[in-house]
Amino acid sequence: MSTESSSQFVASDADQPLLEVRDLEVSFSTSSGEVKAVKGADLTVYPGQTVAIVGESGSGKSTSAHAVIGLLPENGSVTGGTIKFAGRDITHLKPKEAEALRGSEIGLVPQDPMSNLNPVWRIGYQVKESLKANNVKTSRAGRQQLSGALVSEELTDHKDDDLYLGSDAKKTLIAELTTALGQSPDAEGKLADADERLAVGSSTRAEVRVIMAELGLPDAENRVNSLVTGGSIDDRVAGLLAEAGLKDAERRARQYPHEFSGGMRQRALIAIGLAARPQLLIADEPTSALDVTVQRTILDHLAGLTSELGTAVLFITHDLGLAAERAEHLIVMYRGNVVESGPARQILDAPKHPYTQRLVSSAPSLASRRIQSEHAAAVASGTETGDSSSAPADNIIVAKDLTKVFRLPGKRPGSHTNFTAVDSISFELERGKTLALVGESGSGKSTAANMALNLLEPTSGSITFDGVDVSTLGKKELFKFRRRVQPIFQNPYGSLDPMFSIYRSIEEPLRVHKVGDAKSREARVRELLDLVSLPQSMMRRFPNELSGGQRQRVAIARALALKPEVIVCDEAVSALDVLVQAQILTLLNDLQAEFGLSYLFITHDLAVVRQIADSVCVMQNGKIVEAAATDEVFDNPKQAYTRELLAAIPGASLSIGGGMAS
Amino acid sequence: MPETPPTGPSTMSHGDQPRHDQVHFFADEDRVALLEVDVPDETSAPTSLWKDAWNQVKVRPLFWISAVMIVLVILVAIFPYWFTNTEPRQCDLANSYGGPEAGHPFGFDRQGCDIYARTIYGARASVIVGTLTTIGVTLIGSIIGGIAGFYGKWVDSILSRIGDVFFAIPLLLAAIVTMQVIDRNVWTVALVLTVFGWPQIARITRGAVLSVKNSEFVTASQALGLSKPAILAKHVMPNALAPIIVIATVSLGTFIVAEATLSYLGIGLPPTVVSWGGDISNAQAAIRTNAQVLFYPAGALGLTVLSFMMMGDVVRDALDPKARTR
Repeated sequence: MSTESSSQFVASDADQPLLEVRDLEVSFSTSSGEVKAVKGADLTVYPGQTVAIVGESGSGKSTSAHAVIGLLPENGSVTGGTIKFAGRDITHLKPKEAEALRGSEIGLVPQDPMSNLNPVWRIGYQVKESLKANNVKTSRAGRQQLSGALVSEELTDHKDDDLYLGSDAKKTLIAELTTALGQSPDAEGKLADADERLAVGSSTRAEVRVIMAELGLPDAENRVNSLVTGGSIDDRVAGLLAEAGLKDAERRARQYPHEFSGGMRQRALIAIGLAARPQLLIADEPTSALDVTVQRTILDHLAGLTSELGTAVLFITHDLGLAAERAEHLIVMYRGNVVESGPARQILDAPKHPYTQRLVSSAPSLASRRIQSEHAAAVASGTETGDSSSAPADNIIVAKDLTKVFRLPGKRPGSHTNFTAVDSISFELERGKTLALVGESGSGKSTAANMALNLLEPTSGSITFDGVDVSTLGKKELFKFRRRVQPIFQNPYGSLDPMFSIYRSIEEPLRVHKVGDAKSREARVRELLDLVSLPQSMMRRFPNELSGGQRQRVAIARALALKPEVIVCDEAVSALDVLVQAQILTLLNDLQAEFGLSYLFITHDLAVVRQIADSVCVMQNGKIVEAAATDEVFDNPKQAYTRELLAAIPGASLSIGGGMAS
Repeated sequence: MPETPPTGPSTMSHGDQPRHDQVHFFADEDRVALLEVDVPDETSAPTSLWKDAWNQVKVRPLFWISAVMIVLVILVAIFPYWFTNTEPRQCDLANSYGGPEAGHPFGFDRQGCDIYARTIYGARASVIVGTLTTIGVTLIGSIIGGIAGFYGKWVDSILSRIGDVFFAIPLLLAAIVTMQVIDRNVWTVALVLTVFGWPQIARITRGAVLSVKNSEFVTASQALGLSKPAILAKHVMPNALAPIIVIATVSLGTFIVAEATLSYLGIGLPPTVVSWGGDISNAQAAIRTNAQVLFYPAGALGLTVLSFMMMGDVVRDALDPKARTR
């Protein structure tokens, strides 16, 4: 009852905010006392509107959204302000009332598709659960009552939206259409069309009427009205999954989460979030864990679906480009405050708050160019001599026909199948330059990096380092090789040994390679900390006390300790906030200019490639599909896949991030 | 409220004002000051896993209670003569089942020995067997488990199956059988318990090592040229230590009980060694008439085991990240 009344109220007045948050304050009680995560945030969402909250980690964006839906962690509470939903104050709801609100009126699409589906239940069951939990009328008795009433009485249009096509009704309708069309020449095409357009559990009676009339079923209106009297709950589940963009939904509903890819799981979660037709959908970084191309199709689909249903979306993201592309209205949060809010275009064109200005200017996008820092320029002008450009290319790493095949256990005991992770790729890394290997997950780029590091043995093909085939290296030479090639990894939480102090972490390479005595090693560690702009006092600390960006600096210092020639960066900046990411990229760029380092840069993010790389290899399914200079790839992509990747960069169509180029 | 921005009022009232989403609001710069990007916090005190654990443990009463009890038990075990002047083996049958009297607070057992003195001197056997066994089990278990987990493949298969074989034999049954044929003293009891007790720690260690060995810092050390044994010893084992310590603390209590059980059955320590298990065994004849003979050694055993178990619980809460509440 309450659902109907409130939705009518909202529908009647689109100028009234659906969600109105004023002066919201959220505090967490921790062992070190009360911590304010949100300090007086305002946000307003109108019916059918898409609003995005943008902010870095720790800005309070997710906390604000969780306060709205009443899902704060146990030690968190709303300590001030009001949250109004559809005119009703929901700031301090009782648990029962909050439960009634969640799902049916405010839906949630959570962040991590991998952990938010229960692995022991079928997908369909989990969608069904969300329907049942929100009392969507699906019980047999309820349906029979409703359909009985509908068949007997005069049918009115406004009820048609509550009735979905059942699987039996679809079969009957198709059969009737087959007989009606008979031997007509286009019968086959029309039947296929009907089969595709009639979506079980998703097409409403009104839609079915239109479709059948178009296709030429005689007396379509009456036939449809008597047949389409609501599908079963399983039909509805299939319909919801189909709406979320899953192909072959009826079969998919019977599968388990582990049989789904990340993108498919996120679609299932969208189906669950929208199952009870909420008026507001909160999407908390819904695609951050997915590849860009998958992200794009899912967000396109979500946008289409919510605009069709008239659902308002509160979109939470750390990516300004994505937010600006997907939302009309932006809210920028910083350290628990809303620092700026307004129409997306206005904020991008004329950011007013210094934080927003900083965010806009360092957002990586297509428009950005290779970083040209003053430091790098100064070093370059000092060292560059006239003949460097005319000299033949000096390649420090040459990979030739590199292939890696993994043996996976087969279906029968003892048997195995081969999986080709890297399929005969060749690339050259020029001394003092940056080569980027770009690709989506599973493209084999990290496997290639591990082979370049000589941590994995290639199945075939060769890697030549500075003129020497690395597979021929003996134990001693390999040890020397290790000194010249160092890695930096993605996960700033996993790349440093938590039991080692920062000093020990940076000193370890020197000790392993027996460089200098204790005193000179300490001097070197201090020097390295200066190099990555960390205070020397950090030496005595442990990794858990540092932020992600700071840990990554330590990892860089450690990699530089032995004065290597090549650094392999495996997604080295992917886990960092945009501003920190820009900072680390600038640091890497400065170091390259100063020490003539060569980088092999592994990433999934083309926007980052443009900022750091001189040349690019685009990888797909273990093969290099396109390899060229960075500007060439960006301005003139040859392959369809490269174009698709480029188009999928969030904010690609918007001209933000121009600050870097100018 | 921040000052009104020039683009439009940001007041809360509705009415003839533009919709909120048309307003370009921005916060006052003074209210939300911009910080430098990613500045290290130099003010907070440096911490490490161990310091964190200590900070967490030191406020828990359970920790202090069990710590005081453990220290007391250890002191009793090392310096029993600080706590009593009576010889536990000098007994006078005239005092058989005698009640408490001056200088003999717990009374006398069947042989007329002073129960208080025997309870005090019995601690040594229990603590030595418990400590020795725990050390032995932890060493063997963590080495075998660490190697199995780190090297994997056939090494893991062989070591894990050997562990399973020992795991399948009940600890007490195996001890009963072997104690029949070898010389019985504190060392052999500890040895037998170690030989049949290590697989549990080995399994725990193997699991912990498996979860650590795929960390990126391990790959980074490989790229540094560190050898496999060095990586295992320097990076992997220290990070797998927490669960091992927890299990070791808890099992110390278990091994004390196991020693008492063996002595009770008459196949643990010989009667010449004063031990709680032996005394409990001797006391059973008089359970109905003179319960105090059973009560004191059994109570001492219970309290000792309890204090080690409590300590294990506290340590687990402090070291296990999953149980940590911060």
